Amino acid sequence: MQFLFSADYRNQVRVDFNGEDRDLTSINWNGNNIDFTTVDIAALDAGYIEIQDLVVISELSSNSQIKITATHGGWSTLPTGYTGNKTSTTGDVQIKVDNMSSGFYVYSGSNYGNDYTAISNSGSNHIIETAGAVSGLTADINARVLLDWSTDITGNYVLSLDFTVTNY
Amino acid sequence: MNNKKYILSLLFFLSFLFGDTDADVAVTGSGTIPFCASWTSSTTVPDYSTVDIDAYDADYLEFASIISVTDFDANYAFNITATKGTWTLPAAYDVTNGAKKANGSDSDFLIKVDDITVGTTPSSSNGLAVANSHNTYQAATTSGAVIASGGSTVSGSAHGVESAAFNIDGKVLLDWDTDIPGSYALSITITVASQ
Repeated sequence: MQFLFSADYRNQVRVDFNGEDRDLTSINWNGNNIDFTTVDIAALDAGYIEIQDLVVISELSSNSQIKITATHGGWSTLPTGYTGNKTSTTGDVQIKVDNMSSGFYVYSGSNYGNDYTAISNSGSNHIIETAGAVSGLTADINARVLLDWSTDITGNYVLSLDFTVTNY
Repeated sequence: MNNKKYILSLLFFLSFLFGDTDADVAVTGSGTIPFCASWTSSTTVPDYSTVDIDAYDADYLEFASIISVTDFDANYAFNITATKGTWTLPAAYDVTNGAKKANGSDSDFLIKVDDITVGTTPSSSNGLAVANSHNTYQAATTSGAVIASGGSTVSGSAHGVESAAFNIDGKVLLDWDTDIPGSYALSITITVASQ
């Protein structure tokens, strides 16, 4: 018996790979929750509680330009009878970024790299960015929660903040 | 045949269009902010050596600003309580007929609150205010009495007070017959508590 090998193109599918490389970003970052039980006289006198290294970016690599956005998720819990600036959507949170490695830039037109600056729930508070492809960048995101003697009454507070990385 | 080819090609092409990014980070802040109160205080010890004939004739001697409180802050409605200690009296003091009692159960030392700065509040109301008629002299007691209060617990308008101030004046009653020469001492303590 003989086996006859021959090309039978009727049972084949040809796949053409084409297109452009997609945007890829790898980021290793960790957030530290805020404990409001640490609020004390000194914090109220200062007008804020400061959280250094709220988010630590230990490694960001991307093959394209990216931006990092901070979004205020609102105060989901406030003491009964609260009347201050904190609301279910926004209020009393400021962000500052420091220890940025080369390749990170403060978002154009913003002040997040110089002073603690308010964020909102608009999703448009871009805090830092890159100019293009980068590898192994690091930075720290710090926060202040503003406090007021007369309005930040004793009681339970719950706040959420979200940080996202997106392509331009 | 040609349809299969184009479908597969399209799937691969689409998969390259979408980017890929690691997860976002969410941070939560939570916890109970405790009741906090802060103030700066100074005291002027009543000097009983200043008691003189005029004071005996008047039946009392006043001491202005025995306690002075400035920059008073509280992050919720509060009460300020004044509590009298016990008397140190001369050894020969007439404990039976003298008005002053070593255990402090007398009414011979009075206090009042004055020079009030109400402080700032969100609605410009319910700042620091005198309580229990302590805008005039009231006998201090060992059980304590609320002499001033402020802030609000009202739902929808609860608040504290910032930058308030006040002084406490003292007045000791004197009697020619029983307040004999000797050493007298008494303490007044003020405390702040959340309502």
